[in-house]
Amino acid sequence: MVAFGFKLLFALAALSSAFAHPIREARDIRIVGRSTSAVVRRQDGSEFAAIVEGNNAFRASDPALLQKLADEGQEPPFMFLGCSDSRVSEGTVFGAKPGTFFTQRNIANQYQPTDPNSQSVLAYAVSELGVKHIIVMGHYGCGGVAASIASPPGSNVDAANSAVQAWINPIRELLQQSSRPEIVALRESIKGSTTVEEPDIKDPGFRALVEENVKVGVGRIAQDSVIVNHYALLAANSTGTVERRSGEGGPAGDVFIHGWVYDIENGEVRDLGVSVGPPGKAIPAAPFAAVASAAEKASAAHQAPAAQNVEVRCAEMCKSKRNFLPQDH
Amino acid sequence: MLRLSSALFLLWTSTLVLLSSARPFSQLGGVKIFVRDAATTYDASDFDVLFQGNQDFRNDVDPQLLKDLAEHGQEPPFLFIGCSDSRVSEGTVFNAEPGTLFTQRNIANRFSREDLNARSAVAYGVEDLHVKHIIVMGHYGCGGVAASVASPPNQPWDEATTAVQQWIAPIRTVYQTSEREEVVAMRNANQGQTNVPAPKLHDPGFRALVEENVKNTVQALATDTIVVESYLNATGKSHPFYIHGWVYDIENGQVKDLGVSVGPPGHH
Repeated sequence: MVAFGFKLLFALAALSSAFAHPIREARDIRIVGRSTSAVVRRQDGSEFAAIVEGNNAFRASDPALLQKLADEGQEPPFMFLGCSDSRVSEGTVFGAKPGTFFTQRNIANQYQPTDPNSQSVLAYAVSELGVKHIIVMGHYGCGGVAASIASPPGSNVDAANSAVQAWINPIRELLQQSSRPEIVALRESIKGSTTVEEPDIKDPGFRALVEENVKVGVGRIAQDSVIVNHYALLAANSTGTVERRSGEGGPAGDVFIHGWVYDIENGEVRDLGVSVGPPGKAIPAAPFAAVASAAEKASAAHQAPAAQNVEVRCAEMCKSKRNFLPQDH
Repeated sequence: MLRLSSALFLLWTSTLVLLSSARPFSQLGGVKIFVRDAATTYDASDFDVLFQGNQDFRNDVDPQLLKDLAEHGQEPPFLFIGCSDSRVSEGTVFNAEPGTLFTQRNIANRFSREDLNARSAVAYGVEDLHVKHIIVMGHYGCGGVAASVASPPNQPWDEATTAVQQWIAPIRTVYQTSEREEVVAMRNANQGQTNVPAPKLHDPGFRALVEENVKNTVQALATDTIVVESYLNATGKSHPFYIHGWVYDIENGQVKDLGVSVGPPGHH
């Protein structure tokens, strides 16, 4: 009787452990990229373990939301243009649920109107999905911005180097052209040297260039034909009749563009105060603290059409444990 | 003697049952849940959800992890190439800690050697960060892939439409030329129709095309100079990397490996 009980318990234990892991981790990989294919064991699965576990936890957290988004389609309030940096995943640093950000991530969160990749994302976000806010977010310690300060590699440039250098070239140009004092100082300090190293995360010139790079991105988006056309559409319909767009979204609505910066040392998000919106519309304030000195210099160093000041709302938000003090430069 | 071994056996099986039935929300293995509790509500201000989410993140995350990552730099094991779709943020769907996935996200997770944006991200991931794995992840219900099946919108196109249509043109090519039977069936069904709508989430042809698009991206990566050059050097370096093709199911969050992984010759 007792022995049977043990066998039953053992059987239950074995069965339940088999069903508890829907994602099989030990999966053989078939290599197809060579002349002969071969099955290999997935090596050193530990780095996969973290993301498999994470996916399991995520799947259990809100299955109803997933089903709803699948059935009804996405309606994200935000488009996010961020850096590819692994420390600044918008899903992670904003604890975002699925359906929040329609996202483009590239090195140093750049927007170029001649880049079909980022332009198609902007186009789809604005004209198909009807996002309300476009957030451009850079971050201190950005490797792409750092590389723009450092001397380019001399000899021995391979395809990988070339691609990165070509992509960050606009930031090199910004370094040369910006009139922001910290950047001018940085420029002077490295002038003539061919062995400039990547700067330290706390370097004021580096931090300033991170911020100016975001502002330039906001400006380029605001001047992109996608936005210009959209704002014209809004103005033309101001008497009341609204055109329906094709695609997943609804009637054309206001679109605002914001520039934020993320601090990788502590997870803080700050508003650069360079938000842009359709002419004549008040811009919804972001509750993140302002980067004070950057906001002051916004009008001097950066040309943004219809730029309006963003008021920082403190109120309830400032009851949090952490202090939101303007960044000291 | 018999009693001791029975007791131990009972203890072992009970532990196994408890561990197996443990919900993923538990702190087993130190997993910190960054996704917010579904029951929390926020006031109507546009940004509050982001502000609160960032607060929660900063409260939950290990401050030492952030400091270490800032001081020593990022060392992500993965380069992630995913879709811009708001339902497939890799930080969210993998509940990933900072420092995990170096990410390029664009419409329909494409890669082409003409695209400096994606190419520079791959270059940096491979050459500077020495990632161990490149994960290309598509997803069922992808709007970019759907648009590649649907008839193009009527002319004239504005700039926005042009930008999107040009970006997905290579996926139209995959759709037109794929020999995968579900895609062929879909193509035949759509033949001759003038206003083909975007396919539905469960359409087998659509799902197959999502997968074929992922494989196409894996292929484009594997044959790109950056990867080829790195693989040629792989025997000399200590960091070979692998490229994988995955698909994410937006209905339930499941991730499926398409089994098309590529690695450097001679490595296991």
